[in-house]
Amino acid sequence: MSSSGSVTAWIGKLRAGDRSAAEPLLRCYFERLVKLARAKLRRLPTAMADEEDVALGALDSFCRGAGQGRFPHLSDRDDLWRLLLVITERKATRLIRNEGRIKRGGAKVRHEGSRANDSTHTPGLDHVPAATPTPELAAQFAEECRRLLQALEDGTLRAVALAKMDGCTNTEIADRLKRSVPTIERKLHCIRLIWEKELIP
Amino acid sequence: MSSTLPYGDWPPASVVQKIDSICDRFEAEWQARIGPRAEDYLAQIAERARPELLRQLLRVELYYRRTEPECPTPEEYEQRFPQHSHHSPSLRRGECPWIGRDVISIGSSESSL
Repeated sequence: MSSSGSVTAWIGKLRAGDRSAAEPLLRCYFERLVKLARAKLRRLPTAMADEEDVALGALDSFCRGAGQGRFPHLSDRDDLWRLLLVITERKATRLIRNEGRIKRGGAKVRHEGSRANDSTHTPGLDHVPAATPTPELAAQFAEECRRLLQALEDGTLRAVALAKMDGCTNTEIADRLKRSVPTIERKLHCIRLIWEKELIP
Repeated sequence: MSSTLPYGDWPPASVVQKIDSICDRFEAEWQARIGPRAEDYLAQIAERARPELLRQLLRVELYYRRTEPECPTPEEYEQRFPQHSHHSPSLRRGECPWIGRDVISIGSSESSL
């Protein structure tokens, strides 16, 4: 069976509730996802376990989601890799955000200890998760987007990436740029390859 | 099908980008109604990248031919590309689902970044 055929079969098994397909998926994708998580977490003083936790968490989320009938449009290895990329990115981003909170919270706890008897102080506000990203995280995200768009170099690739980020369908992008749908799909593949290189140096 | 490619799953990024730029020129000719032939573009890339280039060229060609009164047939493509039929067992069997699929799925396939 081809590798793409195997992946399709694994997806089918997971959808049918057969968790035995999780093991070959882990073997196939774990190392790449760890690399991706490492690239994403490189600004944090994290241990190797964090990267592996993120990768394992992404695979686990996928396997559970597939078993619950999510991802109905997932059909092949290319779709699966894109989905795993997104899940891993999100998990890494959540970890970065949580680490930031713990860091701020930890400092606050020490500070609160010294102010335990201060009745004017409202304790623990920093422990409430922010509903919106911090300015620092937003700036980091904007910088990351700018860097990724710059890496594309080609104007059409940038236009396709921006339209996709806007939530356009491939057909809508094709109409907007007056190109064929297969061309948009090809461009998206190019973009993914370029960005993977950027994310995993 | 991808496992039959000489590169394994996908060609390297540099080859994919070269294929992309060749396909861009091919599409420009379709839009200019010059009626380009995919056959004429294959020599622009190393031999082992040709199966993937051909696949991408045909996807573009089928997109622009989708409104033609005469539907493209698998036999037509087998005749035009006999030397590449071994890259696709389905093409060898004359079923060509990869060609038919492209025709059917154009406009419906979604991919994310």
